[in-house]
Amino acid sequence: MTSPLRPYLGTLIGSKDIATNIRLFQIKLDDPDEWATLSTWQPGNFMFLSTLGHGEAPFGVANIPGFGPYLDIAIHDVGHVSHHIHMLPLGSQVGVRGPLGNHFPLQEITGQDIVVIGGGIGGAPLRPVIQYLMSHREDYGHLTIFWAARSPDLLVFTDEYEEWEAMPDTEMHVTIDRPVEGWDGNVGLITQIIEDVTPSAENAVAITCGPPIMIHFVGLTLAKLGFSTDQMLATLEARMHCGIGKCGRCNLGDKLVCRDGPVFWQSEIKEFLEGIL
Amino acid sequence: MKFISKPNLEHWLGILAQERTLVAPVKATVGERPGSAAALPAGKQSCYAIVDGIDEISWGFQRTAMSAREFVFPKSECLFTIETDEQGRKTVRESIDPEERIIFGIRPCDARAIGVLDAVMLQEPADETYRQRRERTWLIGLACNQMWDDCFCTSVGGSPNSREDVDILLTEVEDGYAVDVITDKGQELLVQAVLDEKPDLVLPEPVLNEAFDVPPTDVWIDSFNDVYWERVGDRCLSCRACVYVCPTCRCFDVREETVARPDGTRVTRSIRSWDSCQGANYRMVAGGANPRSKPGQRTRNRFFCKFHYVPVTYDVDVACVGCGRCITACPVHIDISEVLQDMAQKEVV
Repeated sequence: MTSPLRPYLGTLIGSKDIATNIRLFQIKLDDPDEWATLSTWQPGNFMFLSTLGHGEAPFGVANIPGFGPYLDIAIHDVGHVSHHIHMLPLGSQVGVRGPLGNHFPLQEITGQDIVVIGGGIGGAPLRPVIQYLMSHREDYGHLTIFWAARSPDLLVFTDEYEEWEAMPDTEMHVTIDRPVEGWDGNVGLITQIIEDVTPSAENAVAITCGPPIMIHFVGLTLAKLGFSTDQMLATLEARMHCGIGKCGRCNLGDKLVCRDGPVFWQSEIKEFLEGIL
Repeated sequence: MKFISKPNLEHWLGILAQERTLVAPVKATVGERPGSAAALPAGKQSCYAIVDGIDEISWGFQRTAMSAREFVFPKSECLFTIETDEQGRKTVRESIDPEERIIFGIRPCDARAIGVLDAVMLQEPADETYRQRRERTWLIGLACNQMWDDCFCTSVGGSPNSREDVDILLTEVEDGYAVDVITDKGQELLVQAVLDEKPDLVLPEPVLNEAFDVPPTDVWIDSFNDVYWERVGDRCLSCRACVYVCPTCRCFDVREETVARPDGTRVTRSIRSWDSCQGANYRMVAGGANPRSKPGQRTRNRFFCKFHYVPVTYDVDVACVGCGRCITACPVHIDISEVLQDMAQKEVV
């Protein structure tokens, strides 16, 4: 039997800067059968991407399979592996393992209003959520997208906002933390903008991804607006070496982010023995 | 009861050593500790090693310095190899360790520890590298005739003569060993052994240390935010010795190492190595967030992992087998048996 730790071989077919030190990579698998297995991923699943020489690391997938015969992964150049991925020229062979972890239960929340809240590179695993909603728009209620970054140059997928906003019954609010010359949009923490816009909690689910501190404070803000912890989804990050519940690296209390997550209801996160901060 | 005389046992092990790799307790000599003039302290006088012949086996050994964990889950191993040809094209090949291995003289606690590793690594999706090695490994246990200093197997559900997780259990009796065949795998091995039937054989009762109670799950959960853990953490040096000597710890790290050859090709190995949750940056992500940045949070994680996290996540009752090695190894005397007794005194609120 093949080891679940052995990667599939793929080729880097696209690579573009989408923000400062953040690149969007497109990967195509070399073997169609392996692609058939891999392309069953759903919004929220993650994959391991390997440089085949400098190690592998887990990344949230940034697209849905239907949006092209390739895998999109947005990577912030912050660590050892991510840095070496950034150095790869087009056409390089890479290793891919997945799909791993659970996914956003989008099929279970049809008919409800959706609030998508993304901060910085945390927007990457939310892009497939937006893409999914785009192709199933009539199955969901009002869509509110909150999108934030510390500064304008760190906002991801800016060239897609127009298309997202053009979806029926959709509003989008983009904000940056501090004022910057030439920026005439919202300024302020994402929690402030959420409070200003006050999305209705009635028959609604909020989906958040960002740094742990943001997930924490967004949770508090949503609670003020009447969202219960069963109406808040978040996806967590952790360092991992297997993705299948063996290496022990990603535990938060008795939960394994790789296997029990990375997507959790806020009600589950509150029950964790160990805090996410 | 089946019986094997000492000469017959040695003869049988000699046959096994020719056909398979034989791992057995050996004496760790002063010569292997450069710069040391003193004899090894009690309890550290032996270790498990691959032996070429039975004359290398240490018979009167106590607890070995390290468990036999590394023979089913090596300290460092290659998971797969990536070959890069002159044109830069890569191929991935899995590494298989084809050796058939017998671990002779494994103590019941260490065998139980392999049972804990099995529960984690073989739960679906199984770790294939581990599974394949484990299937080719036989465990011939040797009952302890007494519990040594710091041993507390009886407090965590084990015993010095436990039959759990071994294929064969030997118990030392006059002139030889009582042979308890536990699995079919064990039976297979014994085909080549000369055994006697001794219906009147009476097994010696091992000398036990006093047992204490391990606190139930509720006590653990209630104590999670207790200042007690900070106090334990204040002493911890984050040296990780406890984890490396632990027979049940399974945390690992995976890295890749690349070597360029003169002909322009390259070989990359994906190397898995033991890791430790006691390291300061163990839980840190690339962005810098670290939910276990304080030593107290990390020591707490180790104790909770053994008595709460692993038991609720995998099919095993407890992930500590009471071997006591971490007690002996800790340079600042953090004592797991003391922690357990402290916890047991807490009341469930």
